[in-house]
Amino acid sequence: MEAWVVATGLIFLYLLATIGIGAVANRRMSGDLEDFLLYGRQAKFVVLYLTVCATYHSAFAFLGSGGFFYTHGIGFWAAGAWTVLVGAITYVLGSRIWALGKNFGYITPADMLADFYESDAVRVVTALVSVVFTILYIQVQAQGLGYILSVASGDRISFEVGTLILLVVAAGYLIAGGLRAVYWTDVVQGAWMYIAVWIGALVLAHELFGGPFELWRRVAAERPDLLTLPGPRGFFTPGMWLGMVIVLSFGIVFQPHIIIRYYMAASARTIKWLGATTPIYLMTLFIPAALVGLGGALVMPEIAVPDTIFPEMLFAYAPAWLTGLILAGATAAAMSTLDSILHSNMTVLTRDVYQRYLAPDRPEGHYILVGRVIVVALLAIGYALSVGTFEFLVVLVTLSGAGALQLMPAMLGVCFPTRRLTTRAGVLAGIAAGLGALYVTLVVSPHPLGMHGGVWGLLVNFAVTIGVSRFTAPPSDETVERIHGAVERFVYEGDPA
Amino acid sequence: MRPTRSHYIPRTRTGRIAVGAFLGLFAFTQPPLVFALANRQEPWVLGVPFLYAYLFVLYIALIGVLVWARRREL
Repeated sequence: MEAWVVATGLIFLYLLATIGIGAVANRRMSGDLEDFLLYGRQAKFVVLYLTVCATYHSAFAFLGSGGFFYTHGIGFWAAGAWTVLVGAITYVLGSRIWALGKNFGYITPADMLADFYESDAVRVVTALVSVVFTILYIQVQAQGLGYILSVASGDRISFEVGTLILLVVAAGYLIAGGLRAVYWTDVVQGAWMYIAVWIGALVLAHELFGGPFELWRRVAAERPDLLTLPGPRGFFTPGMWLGMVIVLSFGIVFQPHIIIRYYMAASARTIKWLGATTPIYLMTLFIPAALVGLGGALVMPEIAVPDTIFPEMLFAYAPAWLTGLILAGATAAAMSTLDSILHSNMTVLTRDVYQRYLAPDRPEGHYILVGRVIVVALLAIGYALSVGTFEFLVVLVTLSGAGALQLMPAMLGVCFPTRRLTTRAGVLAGIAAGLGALYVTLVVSPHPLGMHGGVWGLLVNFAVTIGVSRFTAPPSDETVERIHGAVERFVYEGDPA
Repeated sequence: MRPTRSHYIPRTRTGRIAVGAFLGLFAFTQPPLVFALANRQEPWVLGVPFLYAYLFVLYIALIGVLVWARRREL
């Protein structure tokens, strides 16, 4: 049987499996809004673990990380630092977010910030930042999916058709089963992508070099420039290293699809174990990526698009069944992030915009229906962005990675009580200044003084938030006592919320 | 009740050890320390270059701190 038939067949088998899971999830749905949006806040450890890991690691981790090792060398091993930091943030901050969500019924990041800062403006700004800076990820993941199917079929399925098929499948099971379907498919996807990337990398290392350790020795002999910092193109400077660690840890954690996962944990114990152990999965996924990227730099040194190094090597050197299995894993990596972002944007738009301002006090079934319509609209936008070419996208994609990071001072103000309070005016001014600084330091004059633009934006944001908060009115004593009191009881008095 | 003490400073001995150990180890994975101490291939450790092994050991130690904190019910 031809390789493309096996590869494409395995991807379609995988898609059928996800559709089946969505159908079962649909039968288990209770018709309750919290069940549709938050899985009824009952996610236990294994499900939460795999959904967080599968959501965090996208098509970028599966394809892009190999490309980064290929181009810039060992410097991308800094990825281990930001994944460990994600674990620590989940442990310390995620557990507080969970406790507040449990206490006060929050569903979106904007719910929490608007409640503490007593401001509709904060709600709208948070919702906008949440949606605008993640909606572009839909486009990035959809393009990855279209590419994978196109490559697997040897261009027999066009990029446009491949993108559409995979977007429709992801949106279909989300519409059918809500977050329950996303969770269950994430469990399959999280396990599949991890196993696939490890098997693929080890098989290639053995086929081409006689094993991983021989691969490392060959890299040292033939491309020693890949094994030291800042790498062959001088990319991993100290400022860029530090910046990527901050942006790709805090910046991802503050995106709505991750915050929503914190809300839905079944208990504080679950979320703290999640924080302590997620880095094991997240960090070790980059070990095989290093083998692929560095090995690829030796055997395919002239490849046009470095991000394609993994599938290119598979098609050239691996058996067809393995290539199909692994490309299905790549599909899983992209879909697990795509469905989560679709879901979080649907939740934010339904809860923070439609339910709050356009049609309050409707039955829960009405909001579930609206949520499903919003998913279809997001699907259409995602598809249009994926197959079109818009110049402004270059700017927006550049901005998107560091955009959610600008919510950090506001989040810390809620979750970490101190004597000096952050204020509504401080938070709004800080986000505006941070986004402005981000535009200048990422787009107008990228990475001044060798420091990642996201860090410049965050520094400006913190300075403005703290400065303005000193001279403006804090939230009312009643609200501060209610929310900071709940954090105090949770952290120091053993209140299980 | 409104908290009067900052949540940025750990209040228990276990908390101080966990925060100190995590931040101390993490500093070794970041500039300038990682560039000054580990930016080299030699000596190779268990078949991999020094920089790779150095960071891997630190990442495992950091995860160890998180697991230790959880086991101490922090």
